[in-house]
Amino acid sequence: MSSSAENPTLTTEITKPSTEIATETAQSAKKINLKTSDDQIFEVEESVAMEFATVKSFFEDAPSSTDTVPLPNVPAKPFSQVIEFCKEQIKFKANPDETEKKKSNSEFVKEKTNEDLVEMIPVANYLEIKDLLDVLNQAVADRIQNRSVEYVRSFFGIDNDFTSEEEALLREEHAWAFEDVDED
Amino acid sequence: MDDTKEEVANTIVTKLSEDLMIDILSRLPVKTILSFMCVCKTWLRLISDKDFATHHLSRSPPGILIKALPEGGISSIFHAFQIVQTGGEFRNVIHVCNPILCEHIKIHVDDHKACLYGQYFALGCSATGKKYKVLWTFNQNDRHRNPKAEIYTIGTGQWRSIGNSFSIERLDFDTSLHGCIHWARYETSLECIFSFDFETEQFKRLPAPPLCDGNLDGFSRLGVLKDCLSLTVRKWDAPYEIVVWVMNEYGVQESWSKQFLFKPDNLHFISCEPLILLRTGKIFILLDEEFGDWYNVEKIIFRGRIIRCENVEDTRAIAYTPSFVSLHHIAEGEEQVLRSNSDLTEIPKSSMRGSEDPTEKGDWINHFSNSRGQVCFFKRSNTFLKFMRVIVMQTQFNQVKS
Repeated sequence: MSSSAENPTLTTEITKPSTEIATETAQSAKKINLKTSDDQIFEVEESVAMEFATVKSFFEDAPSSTDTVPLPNVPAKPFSQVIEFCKEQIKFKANPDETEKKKSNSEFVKEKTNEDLVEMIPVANYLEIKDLLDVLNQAVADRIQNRSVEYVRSFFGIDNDFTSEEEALLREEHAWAFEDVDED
Repeated sequence: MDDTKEEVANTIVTKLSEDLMIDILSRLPVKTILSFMCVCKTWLRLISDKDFATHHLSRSPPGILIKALPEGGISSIFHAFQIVQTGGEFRNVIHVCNPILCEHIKIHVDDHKACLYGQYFALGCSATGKKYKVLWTFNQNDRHRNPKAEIYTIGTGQWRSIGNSFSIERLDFDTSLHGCIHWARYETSLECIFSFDFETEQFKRLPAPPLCDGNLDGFSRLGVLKDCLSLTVRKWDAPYEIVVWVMNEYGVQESWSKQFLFKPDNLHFISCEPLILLRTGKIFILLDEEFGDWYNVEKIIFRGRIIRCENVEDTRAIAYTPSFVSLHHIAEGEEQVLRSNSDLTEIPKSSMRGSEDPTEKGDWINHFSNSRGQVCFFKRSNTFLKFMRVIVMQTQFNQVKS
């Protein structure tokens, strides 16, 4: 639905993180270049990049590498949001506060669209960011809990491949499960 | 432009691998999952899969199952499955069923060797072997004072004697911990707690809390709170209070401590059994009572709504973890796994007294999800929930300094 409309925002989102990093941390932190599947290059602080287990093991295998790390399965748009999450997480690493962390996590998912969430999940999975994956999967589960079958099909863009007879049979089998479903 | 839009929408799902989809689905309540079986063929396959059942069970929070007792009065429940002994002419048959999937198997019991009274069936799962077993304790016809026990491992098709036993009179709401079930004899004193380990198939005694001279002096129930064995005592005499003891280290007598102390406004009830401690700090307490018209209509506070509930005799609340573990997977050696509502009506007919709708299974299932501190609920009947009184008590409990 919104993919074409979001294209212009996409570019601004991508440039934003890199400029921020340049001004904020020019004096201190080492930066790492990460290249997404759509050939965008992200300059990310080392501490943030080490949150990505996949990237971390890349450097463990080749410690002296100064190359740009390719992320062939990661498109730029969800990746910029993943970076946003990890930056927040790092703050809590130095200063653990479970309540604040939960609050920050729930605010992070709250402002994301359904599509944002679903697109970030495979990225979090590929980069092996366990905390984020848990937060995202729970957020998606919360959004589809007690919703109608039709709602969920449109949520994930799933085509119904049952015949109407097959579907009626399944609905009959567990009829009680279809009662009191939240309105779409 | 339109084409790319289509493409994006269609690839969203394919982007989520089946593993990721299983992880998301396993976080949902059972009711939602059942309805999502008809989203598409892939989801039906995923949800019906053995791996999904395992994944879901590890995450499924304990719930409460309210069931009508069969006429035989004997029933027990464990985890995913429920065990029912049917009354009347079916007295020599027990059923193990998964009420979520409407599946059950029949197990024949040679009850000629047992006294009619004092027998008990309990269902459990071995901690490591993942074998589901039925424990049968009974008094022999000839020697009343020498209770015996037999074990039936589901899938093997036969009973095995395991020798002498401690007899079980009742199992409280939830006494399943570390692969063992626990029970006590609530008489005037409480000297020890009994346990049966479904892995080693051994009976043991555990130390009871240090009550005054071992005197119970009130009504008590065993339970599991925060992964510890607990004993709740409602005292007969002033000060009228309800004390919850918790055994912080399993098997260690010195580790029993008074964990909670309730001072309810009135004590017009006999039994009191904490069921589930919610993350919100609320505790679900079952108050079981017969006398006084105050008790005929009860209130459950749920999602801010108040649901009226009436007493119905012969019903019990039992801890129950809703699950998708299919009897087809664990009962391969059994004669037949029966599935379909018509097969199941054989059970409720003899145990239907609490239910009005004969197409239902004679039970109502309520699922209290405490994973995110939110209570959710479902029932298997359109009629109002009718059972013993369950009250959500706001946490007014004070932590007792031990």
